[in-house]
Amino acid sequence: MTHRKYLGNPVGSVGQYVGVEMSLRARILAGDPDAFGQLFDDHARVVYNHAFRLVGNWSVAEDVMALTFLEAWRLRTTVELTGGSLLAWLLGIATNVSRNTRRAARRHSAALARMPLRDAVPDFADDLVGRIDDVARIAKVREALARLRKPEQDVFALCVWAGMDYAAAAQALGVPVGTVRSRLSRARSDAG
Amino acid sequence: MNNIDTQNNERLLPAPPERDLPGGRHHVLREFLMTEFHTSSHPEVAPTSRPRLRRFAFSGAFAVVAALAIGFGLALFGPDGSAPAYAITSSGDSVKVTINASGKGFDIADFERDMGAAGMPTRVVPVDTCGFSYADIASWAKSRPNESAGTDSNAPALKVRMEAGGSLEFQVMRDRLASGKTLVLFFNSPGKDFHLVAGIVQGLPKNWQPCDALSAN
Repeated sequence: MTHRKYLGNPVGSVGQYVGVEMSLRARILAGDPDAFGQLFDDHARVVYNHAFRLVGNWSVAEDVMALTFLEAWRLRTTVELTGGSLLAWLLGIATNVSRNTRRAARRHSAALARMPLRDAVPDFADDLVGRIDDVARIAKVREALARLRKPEQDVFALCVWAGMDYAAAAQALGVPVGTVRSRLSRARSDAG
Repeated sequence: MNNIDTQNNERLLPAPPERDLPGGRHHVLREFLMTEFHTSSHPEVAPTSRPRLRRFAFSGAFAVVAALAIGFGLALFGPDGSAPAYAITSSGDSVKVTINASGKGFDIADFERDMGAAGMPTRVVPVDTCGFSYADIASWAKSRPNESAGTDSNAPALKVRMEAGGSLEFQVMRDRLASGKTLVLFFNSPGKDFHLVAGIVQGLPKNWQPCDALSAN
């Protein structure tokens, strides 16, 4: 599997209006919907796959992904002006939403009621088969992962599956870097 | 975490490969979310009831080009006095400014004076002091008239680059600026670890004050 590292991309975090440019973080803080559109384009896929690994169901993962961005919009004033990529922030929200999907769904019930329904039949049969295989595979993996405590599962999902480094995972979970390191170490020994 | 650790962990519990959203769902969900963002109003984060900003319309003075940078901590001198907060190099028609990410004590007056001496008149807008919110700045930025005084967008007069570690470097090409233009930089939290929020090059009317930056006159 390819290892991804999301270490931030400050240069890319710049947005332009007519004649003026602002940082993406400032635009997020300002509640600029277009900035969230950019955030969605950049990170929706990663959030979607992170959610799938946590919940083991593609349809639920799609709901979690949508809820994550609705939550991000609600929590936009918590973003700090400084920093690089906002992916760690998003994956932290996605982790919480995955753990408390019902609560998030209640909070955004009105929006969810407006969310367009999925097509009953996917576009490609191959894709459908692949997704069914994914569900079977992730079910086995999640069975093994269930031996770990929830905090260790979260660190494992962020560091190993999503490819985040310790600092980014710590930012996502709101814990010290040392905690991430020790949780991952425990996860490795327990999973082995 | 090194790759060996990651690979070992992944061997223990391998996840399926990543997939895209099913056909068309990215676009559908994006549209759905954008509609929600545009129409939703969350009381706890609703913009303050600041008077609506009027369109920026200095007489005959329009933006030439803008720039910006994302947040960074900057300082005039480091704690031991050895590291300057910024360095300004003027060469030909180029003014290059490097701002270091560490230290405290950035002095607005000194910075404006040094930039002026280098041939690039500069004014700093202290966002907090002026009571501007980011929503104010974004609203103002979006309302900017679509005029750029003949600026060639392929050859911007102001280039901004973030360095690893948070230092900032920007370069102003004076030969691409009309005369009488001023570099206006929006900072927050002046005097502490403050950050560049936005920037623009524009003509300023007489008696312009930094806290007038978002207002018409």
